[in-house]
Amino acid sequence: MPSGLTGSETFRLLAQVIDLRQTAHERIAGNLAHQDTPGYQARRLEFESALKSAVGEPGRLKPAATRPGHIGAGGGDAIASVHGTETTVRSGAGKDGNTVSPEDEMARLAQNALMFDAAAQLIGSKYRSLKEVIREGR
Amino acid sequence: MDIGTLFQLSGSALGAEKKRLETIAENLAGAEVTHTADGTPYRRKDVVFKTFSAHLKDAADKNAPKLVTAEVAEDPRPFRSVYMPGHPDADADGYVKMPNVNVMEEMMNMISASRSYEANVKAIGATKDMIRNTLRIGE
Repeated sequence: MPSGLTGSETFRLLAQVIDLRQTAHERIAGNLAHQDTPGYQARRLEFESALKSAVGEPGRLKPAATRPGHIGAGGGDAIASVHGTETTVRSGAGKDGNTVSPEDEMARLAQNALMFDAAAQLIGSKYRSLKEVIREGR
Repeated sequence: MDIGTLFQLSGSALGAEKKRLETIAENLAGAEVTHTADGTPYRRKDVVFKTFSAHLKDAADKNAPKLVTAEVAEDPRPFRSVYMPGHPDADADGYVKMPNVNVMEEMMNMISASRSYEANVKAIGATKDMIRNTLRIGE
């Protein structure tokens, strides 16, 4: 498991969130671009629940993995291995077979960008606290 | 998908929507034209949105991002016949063939096209903001 200043679970989790949010953004932007393409089916990236279970319940004790072969060793890999699941929207097709709902996509675009910014800001503030410690609070 | 392709994708959709708006403007301009260069009334044009691969090597890959393009096609619906005996283009019975353009339909299409255009502009803005916020990490 990577450790050190930036190897903590929070850092790895935030980095993964940024990665997944970017992929989700690509799907949303693609759907918006194809909202008038006949036969196009909207795509989604769902990862929230998978990421949640990879992080584990807060406050729950995790068995310590002291050797490489232990179950749960490399818990960080559980976070990094969350890639989300790609789904295709088949319902709600109009006469041209297109399943993109522009309203829905715009809402998702805003929400996803907001969550991306939140993760980016949290990483930034983690770095600022590290810097503060390195400068001994001066 | 890399960031460059993402901009390309939204950009291609902007281009396609613009083509659609251009076609609508052409239809509105030609809505009353009874005599084009070949002597026939103006025939309405419409766009068909199609996908194409961002890179040639992705052409066979179903999951590779596909860009959008608009192809112009002619509307096969018949011309309207309006009784105007004094019109220079009127036939022996006094009927003039008018373009198959429905102004209401064009206006509705125009609103739809400009909304789609706006949505893609927003998507580009969001992409740009996300990149900028990523670059600000550690500031």
